[in-house]
Amino acid sequence: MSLVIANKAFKSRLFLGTGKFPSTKDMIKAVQASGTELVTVALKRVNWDQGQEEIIHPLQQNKLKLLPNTSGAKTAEEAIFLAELGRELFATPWVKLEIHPDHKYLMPDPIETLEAAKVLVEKGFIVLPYVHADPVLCKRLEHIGCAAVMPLAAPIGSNQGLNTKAFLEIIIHQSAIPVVIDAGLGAPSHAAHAMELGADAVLVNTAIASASASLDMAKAFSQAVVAGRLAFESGLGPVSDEASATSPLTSFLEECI
Amino acid sequence: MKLYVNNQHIETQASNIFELLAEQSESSPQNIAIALNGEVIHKQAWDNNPLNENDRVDIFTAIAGG
Repeated sequence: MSLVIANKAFKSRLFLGTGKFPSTKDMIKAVQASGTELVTVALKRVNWDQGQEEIIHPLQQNKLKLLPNTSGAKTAEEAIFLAELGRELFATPWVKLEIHPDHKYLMPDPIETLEAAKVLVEKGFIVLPYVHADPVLCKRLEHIGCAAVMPLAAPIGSNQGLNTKAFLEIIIHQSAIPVVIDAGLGAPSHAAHAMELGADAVLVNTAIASASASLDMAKAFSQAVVAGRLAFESGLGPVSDEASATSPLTSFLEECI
Repeated sequence: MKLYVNNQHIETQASNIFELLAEQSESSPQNIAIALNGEVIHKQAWDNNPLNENDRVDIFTAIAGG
């Protein structure tokens, strides 16, 4: 079954961030190899003295859904402003709402995020907030009309994996809107594990962009996401502290000794 | 006239956003979004929003990001 966010169906459950690639060309190749249908993009102030590398056109040529983020915002007010600029620039009401006032750990500010999300939903945006793995906050964001929640697995770009697993499980269990696990997934096995938990999708950037062979890493993540989702849908077996014989010969061998 | 463009004071003869862009950039600017005093101005309205002394203009472009 396809993933659906705000009436938009996605065949791929892998979303990609477009940052940190050595070049736009490398980024596009990785995006194509991943099979993703949604990528994040950002905004910055124009500097006329620096050349601008065009990214919108090559992404649109690949028929990708663009998800502008509000990276750089430290307050709800700044995030709302960036969201409105993003809607104008990328011609989409979709927004990845992210507000992180702290530069060292880039932890999302839950209070500012909730405030901004309320305003943006009222303004007609399709809001996908990046948040800590906080089940209560995710429920609040769902109730005010967010299209999905994007809880973090670990700090952005850290490649640490599912540090917040216990809380992600609660979020997934409780959520009536799609849960996209974002940030900190450093290996395809992390992505597979996230999907096995029942996440609706994952968003990966650093692990692919910083790989020595980003195109192959994109493929690896793509396969891991498919495998993890299939495992989840197939019904994973229960975990036990004791062994459980898989062969009927076991008792026969014990009797012969 | 003085304006505050992307957090910097500039002197300009421009009377609207369209003229300001022509003054600031040699090439025709593509893929930008503009706010005047905190309000996003649609591209179609760039030439009919008069600029006034000490107006704040924010000009953003697209970049890659996660």
